[in-house]
Amino acid sequence: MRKFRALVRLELLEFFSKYRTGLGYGAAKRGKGLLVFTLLLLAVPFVNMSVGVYQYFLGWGRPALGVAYMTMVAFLLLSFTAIPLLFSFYFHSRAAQFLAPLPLPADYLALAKMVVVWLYLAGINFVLLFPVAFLTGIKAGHTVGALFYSLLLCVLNPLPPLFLSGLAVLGLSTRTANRNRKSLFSYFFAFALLGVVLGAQLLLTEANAMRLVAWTERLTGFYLPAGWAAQIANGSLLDLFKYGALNVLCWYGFKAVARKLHCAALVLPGARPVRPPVTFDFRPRKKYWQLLRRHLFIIVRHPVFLMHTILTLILPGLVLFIGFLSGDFPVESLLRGDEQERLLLFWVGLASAPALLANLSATAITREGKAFWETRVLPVTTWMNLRVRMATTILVNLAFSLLVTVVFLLGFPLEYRALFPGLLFVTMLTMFLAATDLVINIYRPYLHWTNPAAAIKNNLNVLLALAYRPLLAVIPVLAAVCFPWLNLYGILVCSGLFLSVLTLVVRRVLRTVLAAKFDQIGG
Amino acid sequence: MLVLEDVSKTYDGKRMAVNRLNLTVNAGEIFGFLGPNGAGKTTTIKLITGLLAPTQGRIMINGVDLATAPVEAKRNFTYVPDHPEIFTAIRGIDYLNFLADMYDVPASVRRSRIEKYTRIFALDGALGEVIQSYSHGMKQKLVICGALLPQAPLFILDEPLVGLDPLAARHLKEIMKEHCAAGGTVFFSSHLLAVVDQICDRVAVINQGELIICDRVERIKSDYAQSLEDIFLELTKDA
Repeated sequence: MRKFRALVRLELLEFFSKYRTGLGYGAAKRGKGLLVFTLLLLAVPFVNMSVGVYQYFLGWGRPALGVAYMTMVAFLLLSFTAIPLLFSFYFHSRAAQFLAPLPLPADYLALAKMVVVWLYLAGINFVLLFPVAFLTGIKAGHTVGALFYSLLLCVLNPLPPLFLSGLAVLGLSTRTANRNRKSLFSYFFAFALLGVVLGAQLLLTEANAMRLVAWTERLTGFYLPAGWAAQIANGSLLDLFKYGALNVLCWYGFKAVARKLHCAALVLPGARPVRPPVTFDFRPRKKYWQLLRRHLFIIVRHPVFLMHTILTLILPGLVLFIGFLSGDFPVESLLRGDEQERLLLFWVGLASAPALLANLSATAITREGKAFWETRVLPVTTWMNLRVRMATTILVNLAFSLLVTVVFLLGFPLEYRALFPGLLFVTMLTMFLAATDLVINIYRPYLHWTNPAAAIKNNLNVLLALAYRPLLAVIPVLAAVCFPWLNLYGILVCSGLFLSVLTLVVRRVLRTVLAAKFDQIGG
Repeated sequence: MLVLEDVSKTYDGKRMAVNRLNLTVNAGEIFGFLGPNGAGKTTTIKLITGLLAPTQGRIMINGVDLATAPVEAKRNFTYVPDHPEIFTAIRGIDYLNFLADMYDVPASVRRSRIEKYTRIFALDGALGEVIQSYSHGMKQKLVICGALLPQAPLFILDEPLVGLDPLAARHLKEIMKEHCAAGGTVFFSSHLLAVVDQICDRVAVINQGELIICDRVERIKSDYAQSLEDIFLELTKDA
């Protein structure tokens, strides 16, 4: 047992060290404090959601149904969290290399990983299910019992989803041991997780009220533990016994699945699929295009970079969409008064969001990491090397701005004459920011990262780039003050032209002054 | 082919990594660049490849000044670093096509050269795979294939034999000899003194950033009447 505890401890250490470096906090004591602080911050919205669910169902006189609702939400959330975690633990663990040859029973090695995932899921339950169960217990009049039963629920609830996730991973393992597919699965489950959280929030609107209560009651019939959890929160010992018995069954299943996953992990990574011969394309391409392709691939082919870029790009649209659905931001508010000017302003704001938020140029050098030397020794000019980095940012951001524009035109009656001033402004803003952000990266290149999250998310360049953006509001304000006779269309054209002049100036500085500084990077 | 005139490099204005280095590497020779760890070998190679700018001095590659005409100068060499740290999310063939485009390798010879070198280094079966699935040795071979592809006059290699299997190492040595026989030049650093002794026409030994000796291998050995290993250890004993 002592060895098993040591193994669990080691797996926990590996898990949190990955977590900590993922957040860019390092291994220092201060890093540990920051990790705890971050976890607490992350817990706040979930606790808030749990309390909100309690209040919502209390309003309908059915607080225990809130426990059932959250048990089902937790089931989905825990499953979607557990599946990528199990993949990571069993098939892509750094510790596996030295643990496998140790004289330890295979069951220990297999189960230690499962226990860590279970602990993690129990932690999620603690912020998700505990508040609603505890408040329901208090409401039912069990002051001390409420605490006991709620804690028991947090312990019992993760096992069924963990067992089923283990089965799912086992079934998919032959298809996902490949590293590229692992990334694909990670994206899928990350988005599924986001969907569950947003969906669970969206269902709690007044418009869905009656339906939600009816759905929860009906679904409780399909997922019995949800009904048991509701009764446990009310103090039912019989349901506690039923849930306990299910957990015992799951535990045995859980052990068998863990062992099979461990064996599959030992066999699979070495096996390479046999591929049919491929014919290659040897056609020459232009240098500029090849370099642009390289920089696009650095974003697209790197799971962390791609995920971060997509999330940054879709965030404003997502917030708006949720606002529309939840009724917090009614569509009618856009179609009042000076409809066209309001629509134009709204569209320009939305289409500018990719350039304002996805500051790709601020990490254009950093993203290359240790492979930065490659383009430096090639017979291409420094200016082309810089230009292509800006072009990558412009291409990604403008593509998304255009997508936003098309969706907006399909949904709202924006006049076509508004397109020119709007697009001019958005294009020039994108080009200007692509150039100025690159200046930041030239002054602050960071190439020796080991964790990609540190290269983009936790890079101070990103914060610096975001910090100066509010100053850009001066440009349209200045245009409005200097040319008071201009309408919104005129202000946008004027601001766009001013931004184009600024862009030329910054690009000139990059070409003449900062190119030399760029050439000194990486020495 | 390669001329270093009074080249120095200081870090932070204090630490002298390379001190007034003068070196001439002639066309058609294999030039070995030796020195203990931290002697300044990699810094010198980084200066030659343009990855670092010298604090003073001039570097000429095939008669072109690296500082004033970097693109023209870089067309005259290819480089294999000591660690194959390359962008690995693309296929091997994409990497080679990328380099071929960068060095304007004509379409007429591109395919045959890629096939030739990847066959020699037994990489032809893995070209359709993503580079991140390659082993360290395979990555090293891919970088070498990429550097051979343009057939640039000067071939610069930093510890090229590390990570290569014996067969690949032999092939590389043969290619280096063929390249020089055809009028090309090879400049490489290594700790493998037996290899240096075996294939180099001339060697230079650098220690603490300063050039200690630069001559033909046979002449050095006859002057000191010792093996290259003993000479190297004697010359760098205060390192």
